[in-house]
Amino acid sequence: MINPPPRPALRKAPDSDVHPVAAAPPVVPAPRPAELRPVMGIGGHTSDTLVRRGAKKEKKSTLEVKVSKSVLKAARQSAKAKGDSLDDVVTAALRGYIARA
Amino acid sequence: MEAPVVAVLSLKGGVGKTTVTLGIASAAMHEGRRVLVVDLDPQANATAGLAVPQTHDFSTSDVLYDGRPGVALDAITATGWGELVDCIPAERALEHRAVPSGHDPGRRLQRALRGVRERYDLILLDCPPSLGELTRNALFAATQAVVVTEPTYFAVQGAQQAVEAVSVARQEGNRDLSVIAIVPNRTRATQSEHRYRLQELHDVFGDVVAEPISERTAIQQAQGAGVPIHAWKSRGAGSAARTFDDLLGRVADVTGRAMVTDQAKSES
Repeated sequence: MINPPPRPALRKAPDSDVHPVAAAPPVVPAPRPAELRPVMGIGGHTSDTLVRRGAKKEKKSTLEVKVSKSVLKAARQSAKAKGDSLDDVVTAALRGYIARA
Repeated sequence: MEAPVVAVLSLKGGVGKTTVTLGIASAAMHEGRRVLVVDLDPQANATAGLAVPQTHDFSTSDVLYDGRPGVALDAITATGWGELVDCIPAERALEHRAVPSGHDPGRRLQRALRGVRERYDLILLDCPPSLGELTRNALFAATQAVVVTEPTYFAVQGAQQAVEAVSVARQEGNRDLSVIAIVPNRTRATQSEHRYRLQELHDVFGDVVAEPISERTAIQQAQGAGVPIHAWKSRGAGSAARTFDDLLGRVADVTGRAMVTDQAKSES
């Protein structure tokens, strides 16, 4: 008689520490009012036509933060699944936080 | 012998799904049955009502994330109600499981509960008030459904939608699933609108409409204290307890078989 191999135990889901509201930062943050400007000058004939302009190139700084392993793992997985970098995820999360503050 | 798995659902929030889940659990416990309550609502009200200690390791979120056959056994925890009633608790992060993910996402709970049904007389699934992936999982894991409603216009509409959802789950493969009761909760016989909606429920659904549960302070008091309604000492509690006994009778009638503890008694 052969005993069955040990069954891997249940583990906590990697997103168990992630609040549902904060779980999925937008891949592309919604355009802010400052990025939506009326078209003016050549090619822009009406003042109520809006175009989405790319976010102004900003100089990037290094931010060192400590987060729980599970949050880091979930953020990495989420970023990988959406084709983003971890920098994009943190930037989107911080933008959301600042907007809510 | 596998226990019946009863999904308690409504697509409208606040009608008393958890009240009915806990009431049926209380009635089964009162009869000496072993009960497992699976809390599928991220608000975790059933978990709180069963006085589950905060020290539990795993939740329904972890079970659905993992999804392996039989893995629900690892997440079962004791409750403050005593040794006859266990729980797989919910937590806020269960909200992450409300969207489809991975292989065959709607049947993760069904797979995870393999091997669990033999250990209990009754398994109750307390559903969230929506038609997302959590309710879908409940409808594929369940053998029977109890729809909870209130005698109001919107709630009766919600009950109709819940019955339709059961029908769709049956068409998609869970062929034995049936609605065993539509339970009007928080009824007041003195209100004409309530009487009208109760009659409407009977006209539309017939005998599947169960005895209404009257609005009782004792039910809220027992829930707040984390004790079964059958253990709450008041006249209102006694009346509510009898209504839940009748509801439990519908579960037993439909399954048409003795529960696990009866077998254990006859074998001893």
